[in-house]
Amino acid sequence: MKVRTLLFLLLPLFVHPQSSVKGKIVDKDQQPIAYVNIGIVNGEKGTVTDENGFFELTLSPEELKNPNNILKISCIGFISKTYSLVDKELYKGEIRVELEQHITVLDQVTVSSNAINEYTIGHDKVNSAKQVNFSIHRKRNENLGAEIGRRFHLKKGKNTLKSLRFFISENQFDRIKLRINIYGIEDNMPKKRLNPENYILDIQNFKSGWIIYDFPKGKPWLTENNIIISLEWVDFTKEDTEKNARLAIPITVPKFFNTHYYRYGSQSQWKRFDNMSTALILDYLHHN
Amino acid sequence: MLGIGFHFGFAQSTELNDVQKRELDSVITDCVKKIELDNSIETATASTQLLERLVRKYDDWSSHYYLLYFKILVIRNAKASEVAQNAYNSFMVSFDKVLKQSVTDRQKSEIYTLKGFVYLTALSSDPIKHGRELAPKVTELFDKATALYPENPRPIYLNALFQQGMSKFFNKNYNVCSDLLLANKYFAMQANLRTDYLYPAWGAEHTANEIFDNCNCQVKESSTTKN
Repeated sequence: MKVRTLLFLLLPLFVHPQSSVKGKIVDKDQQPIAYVNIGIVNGEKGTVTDENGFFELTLSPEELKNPNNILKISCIGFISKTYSLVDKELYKGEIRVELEQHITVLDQVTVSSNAINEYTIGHDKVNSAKQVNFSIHRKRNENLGAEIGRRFHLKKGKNTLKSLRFFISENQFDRIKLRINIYGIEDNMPKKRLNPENYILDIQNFKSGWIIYDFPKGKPWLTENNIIISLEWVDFTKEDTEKNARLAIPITVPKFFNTHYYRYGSQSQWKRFDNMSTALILDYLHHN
Repeated sequence: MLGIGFHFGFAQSTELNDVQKRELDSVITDCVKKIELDNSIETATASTQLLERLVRKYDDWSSHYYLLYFKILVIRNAKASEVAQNAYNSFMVSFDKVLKQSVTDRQKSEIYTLKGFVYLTALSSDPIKHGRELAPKVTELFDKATALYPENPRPIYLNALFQQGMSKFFNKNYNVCSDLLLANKYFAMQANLRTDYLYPAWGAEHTANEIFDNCNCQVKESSTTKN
């Protein structure tokens, strides 16, 4: 009887030896890769590697059981990898995943004598009573990689991004890191990420107000004129881990001709919200 | 002869007595105030369901009108495209019936405004996909609504936001303030005259917010040329 009881208690351990996937992502030289997106494709959970390439993704028993769940590991500049969540290799302690660099030849911006027009587009209203919450800080292992974005329509032709401004209405973290992502659009949803590299913002001891990010100069032309720019939550620190913390951005509803996008974590499904917008402003240069 | 009589009777819509009017006013007021407090899909859906019961009870223009209006809010707030599409189809099915029920130019103006509002909502969610087809329809419907009742503030302010949105989309400048201020003036006039919620009143707060956003020298959309 005692043996049967013991077996019964141990059974779940044999079925699901681990409720999370953890490990380290490295390049071919075994150097850690920071800010890699790891998550269930179109699922509800995701995370991001830290500066040393480490990650841990918490999974529910339901997610572990579903043979259709695909774990995707992707990073700007590297070829993505996918795994079935039922792959036992994922649960053998800390896994080590090597990503192969993705080499692309990009059309670099060259200075020409033609006229350059500077445009400012976006939404600058911050007096809205409504806010969107970016993060759930106690769920680092399932909510990192959350993104808030907005659609921008640029002039047709060759453009370069100059700067992005956005407003934080409330930030209770000591330090946050955000990545700025640029996406092409297909069927009014974000598709291919167009960043040539990581655009990371390191924000420390900042409670509320406008943040400005200047895009690096000399980057490739942006030839797509209908894009989505998002802010992605990739890292944070908070000394007082007991209290729940908020990171919020104001949103205006309704706002015709504006489209707001959100996703909960890395690789999770995008949600689109028509006729609303967060406070995001883009300055860009149009090269005639 | 029978056909003419039926059509005439239908077009006149049901005359309500004072008790019925008070009940209808109370329900509509309640729905409108809930929406103002919580403009969500849940509130819009609940209001739509309530009005669906009400139109079966009273075949009255106001209840039909507000049912159409709440369907627009469902379209606008829907998180799933199927929900929005169903509400859109339902709106289009009901529209012709309510238009026939509209007797006065003012009522017709309000109904055409709602149809323009539906097209505007669809267009502004994806201007690249819907712009070419829907932009002329939106303009036509708001123009028709304003021609029928020039002091209707809703087609004026919605058309102003539509023109502003299209201009921004094509990187052009458009001064939205004069039309917003005109709409605001009509909203104020009508607010002073209103005694119940049986006539449309929505849009005043949205207009005021847009005036605050656009007409206080904080307009950021601009362009400069560097040679």
